[in-house]
Amino acid sequence: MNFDLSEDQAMLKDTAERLFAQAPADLWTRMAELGLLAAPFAEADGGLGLGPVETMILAEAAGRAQVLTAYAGAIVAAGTALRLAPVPPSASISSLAAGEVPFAWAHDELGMASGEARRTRARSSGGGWIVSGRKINVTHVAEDARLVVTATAEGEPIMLVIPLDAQGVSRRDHHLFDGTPASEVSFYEVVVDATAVLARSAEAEVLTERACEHLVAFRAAEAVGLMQALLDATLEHLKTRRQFGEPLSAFQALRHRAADMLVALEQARSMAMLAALSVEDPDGAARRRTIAQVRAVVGKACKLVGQAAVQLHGGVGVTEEHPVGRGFRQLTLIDLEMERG
Amino acid sequence: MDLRFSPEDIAFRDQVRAFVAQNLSPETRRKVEQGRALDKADVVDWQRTLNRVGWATPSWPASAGGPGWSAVQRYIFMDELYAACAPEPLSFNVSMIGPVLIAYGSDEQKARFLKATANLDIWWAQGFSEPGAGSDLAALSATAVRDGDHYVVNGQKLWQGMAHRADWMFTLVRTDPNAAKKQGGISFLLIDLKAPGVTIRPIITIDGRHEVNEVFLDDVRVPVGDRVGEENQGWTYAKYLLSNERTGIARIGMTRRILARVAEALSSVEAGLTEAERARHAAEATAIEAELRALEITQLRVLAAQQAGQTDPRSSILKIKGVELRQAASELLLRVVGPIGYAFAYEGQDEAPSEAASNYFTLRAASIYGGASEVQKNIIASSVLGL
Repeated sequence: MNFDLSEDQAMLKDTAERLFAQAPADLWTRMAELGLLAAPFAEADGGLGLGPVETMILAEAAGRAQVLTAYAGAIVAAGTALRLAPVPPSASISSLAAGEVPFAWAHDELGMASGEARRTRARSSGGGWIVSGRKINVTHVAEDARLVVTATAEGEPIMLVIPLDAQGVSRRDHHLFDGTPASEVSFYEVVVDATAVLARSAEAEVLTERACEHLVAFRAAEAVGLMQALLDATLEHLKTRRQFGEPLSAFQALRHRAADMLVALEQARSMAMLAALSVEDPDGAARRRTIAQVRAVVGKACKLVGQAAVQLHGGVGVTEEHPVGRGFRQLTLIDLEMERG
Repeated sequence: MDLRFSPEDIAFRDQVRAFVAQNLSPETRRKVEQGRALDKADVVDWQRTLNRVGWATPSWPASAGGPGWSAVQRYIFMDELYAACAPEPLSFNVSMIGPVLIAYGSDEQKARFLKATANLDIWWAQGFSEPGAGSDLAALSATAVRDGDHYVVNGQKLWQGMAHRADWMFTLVRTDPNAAKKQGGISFLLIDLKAPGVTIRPIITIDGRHEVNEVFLDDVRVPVGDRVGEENQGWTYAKYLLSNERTGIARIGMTRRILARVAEALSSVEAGLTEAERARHAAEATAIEAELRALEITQLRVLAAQQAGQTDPRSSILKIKGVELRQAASELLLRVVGPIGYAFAYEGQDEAPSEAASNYFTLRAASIYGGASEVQKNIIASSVLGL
């Protein structure tokens, strides 16, 4: 039993933290150059063959720097679906790993509970498929995006890859409240050929589940980084801000609330580690139970730490421009995602 | 990063599991499982059973007659005891006074006390708190005045757990009322509870049980040789004792046991729950379980740091969260068992049909003793967060 990072992992952490701290305009390109996009993929597919612990390290670093990247949707959710597909599409994976083709994860639909059959429909036609339906909250959709779409075909789950520029695909753009660019993507009688199918029936169901579990693990670690950033900022504020002739840190009610933040953060950190160490567990029942527990603990911590950080910052904490206000919105979104699964 | 125990640790776990299964009396097991009070004989017998194989003092080094286990082995050992519904070794002896004697006792004290402490031939009580000194322990006012080769001790001690079963009490007294800092004038004395001038009075707590006492010390003569370490240095030894008391105190296995009773009660018809109530309680149990799982990992992380020789002030997190979850589980159990849980066994009466109420009331004290949760938060704020 040990919780230490290996030398390579420590180096990866260092690299990621430095890059995210700079937050360059061409972040995605830089991530590709540094091999970060290739991390979880098999070496045969142009990847680095790294595991969930490395992904956790990247997620935590991104959270800590409060950067918004397409990593969760593209590499983690869509990437997991590609990578774990019954026949992994090698060319797609290597283009994603190289940062050449942006994939996006198109799963959420209006009025759907998590795990429910998707209302987006695929019907077979002349050896291919015709897809109709609507997806919401598809994030970081580039012009040349390829969408990994969950749908239902003849009462069974199906997962397909549909290029954004296919005939009948349209988008409406907006932003999520954490600042992430998002789109509502509609499919109207979109015709794709048989090679678009990643998985069907039970295999598609498993693939969707696995993608969502990896997403939970990533977002949990991202939340840990965010909570650490908010706690650090809060401690700094408590030490420097003075009221009634004393630093805020002299007031026990505030000290105790900061202690509560640490307790919640450390519990969440434990769960982010557990998620990384469990997300590849072949025992499905144990893995599902663990992921559910991760969601419960991390969601609760996001709320506690986010709300306390804003409260302890006082007025400045509710301003749009302050990192703590933004961090709170990021954590709130993760909290909601953790609740829905 | 790897959560798995080593093959050696797993072999050790299996060895402990087999020993406990073979040696724990079914009656003691039943009491622990149901949260019932243990008789003195239950505790003594179990302690001696463990001591026969050298396991009664998990944290003691081999040089002091302990098993010399690693932090991980200690964790595994305690975890197995909880899982098997076995009592913990008596903490007053094993976690509190033992390590202090090992670290600071004279050779004569070690020879006289350590073996008897491990075997529970001597049952120790803790004489720290007073009516005017709880969380602010250094405000204590019991005095010890030197008279030849004795101290004459006067004062009142409060909350002595199981002192009515105890033979000796380790005690903090003020030996220098003029010390510049109040922590500076305190000494650490071992007091024979059979000595003239010692009066022990029971306090019945809200759980209906007699566990704690108040101890009056009236002109009690204590040989100078029964002082631990230097005069006026007692605060140092007390702090050492308290830090040992607080580590590994998450008691995850205990909470698991309460949750097992919740699961049992949820599926029993006696509880008389509607489907909506059952679903609400089940969701609450699931939430506690998730937090408990996280705490288990947190505990292992602290353990890994200890194993690497670092002291981790984050152990305060274990105390705060561990108690919070144990209290939440006991409250849930009380709500789930239904009307059968209203019956109560007052001290000296027969067993009640359910111990849910007793356990709930007992555990309210858990966030007060061993460093109240508010004190733990102060420790986190200053030692971990640097506030």
